[in-house]
Amino acid sequence: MLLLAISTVLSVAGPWRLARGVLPGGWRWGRLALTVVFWHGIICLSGIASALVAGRFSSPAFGVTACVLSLAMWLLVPPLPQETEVQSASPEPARRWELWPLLGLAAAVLLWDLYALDVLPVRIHETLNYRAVMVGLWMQGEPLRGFESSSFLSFSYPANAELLQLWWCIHPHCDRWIELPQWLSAIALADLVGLLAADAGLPRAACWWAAALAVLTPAVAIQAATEQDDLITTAAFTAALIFTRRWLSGTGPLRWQALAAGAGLGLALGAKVTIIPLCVPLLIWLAVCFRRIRARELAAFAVPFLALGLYFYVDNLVRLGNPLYPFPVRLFGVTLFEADAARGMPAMVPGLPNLAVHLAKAPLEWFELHKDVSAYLEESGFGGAWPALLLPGVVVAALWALWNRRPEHRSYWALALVAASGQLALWSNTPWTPFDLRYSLHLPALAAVAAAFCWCRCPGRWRAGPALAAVTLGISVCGENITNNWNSPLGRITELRKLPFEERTYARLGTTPEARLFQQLEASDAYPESRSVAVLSGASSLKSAAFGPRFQRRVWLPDAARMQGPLARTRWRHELDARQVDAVLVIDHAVPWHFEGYREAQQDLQDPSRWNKVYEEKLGDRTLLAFRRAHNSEEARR
Amino acid sequence: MNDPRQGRLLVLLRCWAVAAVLITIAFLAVPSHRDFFERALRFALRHLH
Repeated sequence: MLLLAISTVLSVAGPWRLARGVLPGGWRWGRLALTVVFWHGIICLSGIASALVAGRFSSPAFGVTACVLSLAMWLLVPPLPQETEVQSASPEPARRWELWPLLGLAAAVLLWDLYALDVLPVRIHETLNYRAVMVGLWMQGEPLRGFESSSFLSFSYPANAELLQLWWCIHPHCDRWIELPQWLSAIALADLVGLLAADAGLPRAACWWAAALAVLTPAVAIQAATEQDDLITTAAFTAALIFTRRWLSGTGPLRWQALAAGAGLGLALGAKVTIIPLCVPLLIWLAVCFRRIRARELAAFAVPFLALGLYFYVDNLVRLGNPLYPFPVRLFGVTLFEADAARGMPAMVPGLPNLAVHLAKAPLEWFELHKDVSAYLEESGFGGAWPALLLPGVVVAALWALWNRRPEHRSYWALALVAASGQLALWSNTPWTPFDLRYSLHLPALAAVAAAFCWCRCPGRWRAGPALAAVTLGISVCGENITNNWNSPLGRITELRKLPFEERTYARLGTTPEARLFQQLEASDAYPESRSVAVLSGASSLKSAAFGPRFQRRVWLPDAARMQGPLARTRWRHELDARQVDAVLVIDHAVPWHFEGYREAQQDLQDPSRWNKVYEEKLGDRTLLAFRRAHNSEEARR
Repeated sequence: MNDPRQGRLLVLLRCWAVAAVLITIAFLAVPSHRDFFERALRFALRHLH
């Protein structure tokens, strides 16, 4: 714990100093967001560097590398001249009752999320499937890439977000604060919204109002207490958009704006493949302005962008032969890299049909009002403020800008064009799923600035309407976040907080069939008290629960690709002995039993002289089985 | 205020303010939100006791 505190404080010092240099004046709160982005960049770089040098992750190497990078950042940044950025005068000062309730609600949401993330266990489907699997395998000494896992996304998906989560796990050696990068990113996102509002010349009250609206977007409020990666990616990408606009419009010290833009874009690109279509219009924007860009600025942008953004794609290309493995890569109808059909991924065929479906369905989701906030998280995530305040605000602000054409508006038009065309590119590359809008949480964040623009220009009493609407919708988001945080109703939190940390597990939460199976398994007293477990499961099973909250069990997750072929028959027993596996969990859902290695495992587990079946339970389409080594078999092994 | 563009902006802003209130009322009037507020109230009363 001491190491976590010391290394965190030391590694934040360099980013804080650099953030002061990038934002010497104007909205000084923006330094907080920038510190988070730079610090996350340092964590990712030090994670990659220390793991590549040592071959595995270790707490001291990770911490020391981060501190050294932070120190280098502290020393290398020259003192920057103080600069006063122009702030336009407030059209009309906001009244306290118009601003403080909304700020109070945003603060309440963030405080509740901090409490909830401390109490609640790792519980999100994607995380249990592959993100926490990645962290768990790194914690037990596996290398950065190239480890074995039945969740193929855990060894092929870009992993900047998981490196940030590892930082909060590796020092205290538990997963208690694995959600903190998301929570910090929610604050950074709100702060960046305030910065953009201040850049647009809005008064301070409107900047805070916009920042609070961004936090009170349901997907942001709810995800801030979870171990997803959408907020990490969104905050970084929003930073890239905002600092690219500052850079290209000549706001602030330009080289450092370029550095911040590159760090944000690289961090986002190395965390999620959905950033690829979003960042293409941004790179085109840079290309269009290429003549105005100096070489030093371009270098300041390119170095952090390439260092943070490309490592995992290059590694995939070298190791697996496809930078976007297991997805296909097609450009203008030409297939550059094939999909791995054996992995059973859904066909992601880019094209206009996808775009048409998105354009038809997304607006319906935006204006569909018969949903509670949890449903909004899954189906649109933007909440009631999007149709009520944000989207109409964008239209009004755009019309105002059309009527008052001024040169200083150009960079905001470019920003809006980049965000809109990025969204079209994203939509044309992904088939419709109700989860898609969590990939675009920068849209409500940017739209909050337009809403704040309209709000602060509303005449006198008319301003009360949007202020009341925002507070009412904020109460709804705040209340729903507290009473029914995604997969964690309040009753569960009050129950879990009384338990010691070790017992606050996903199984105790019991919110999915698999969680209930694990819960019954733990309650049956048959749960293997083992230190080394093999988990046989399909690719999408929630297997990371096997690690335990203190990563107390070593887990082997046989990869389907390595469990086929003639040599796979002998592999099962060889690996069992090499890894000293003394228990096997089978999540019998979509396990490819016809592969040679799995068939051998199935036959072996039916041998009573080697294995005792200690648990079997079926729920829905899932069956959970637990086997322990038979006593004589264990003696023979010794 | 003599600038007609400012006049048009004011009309737009008033429309925006009214629409925000109406859409918010529509949003809160749907059954799932009423259920949610009832649930939250019941929970608060139970725990205040």
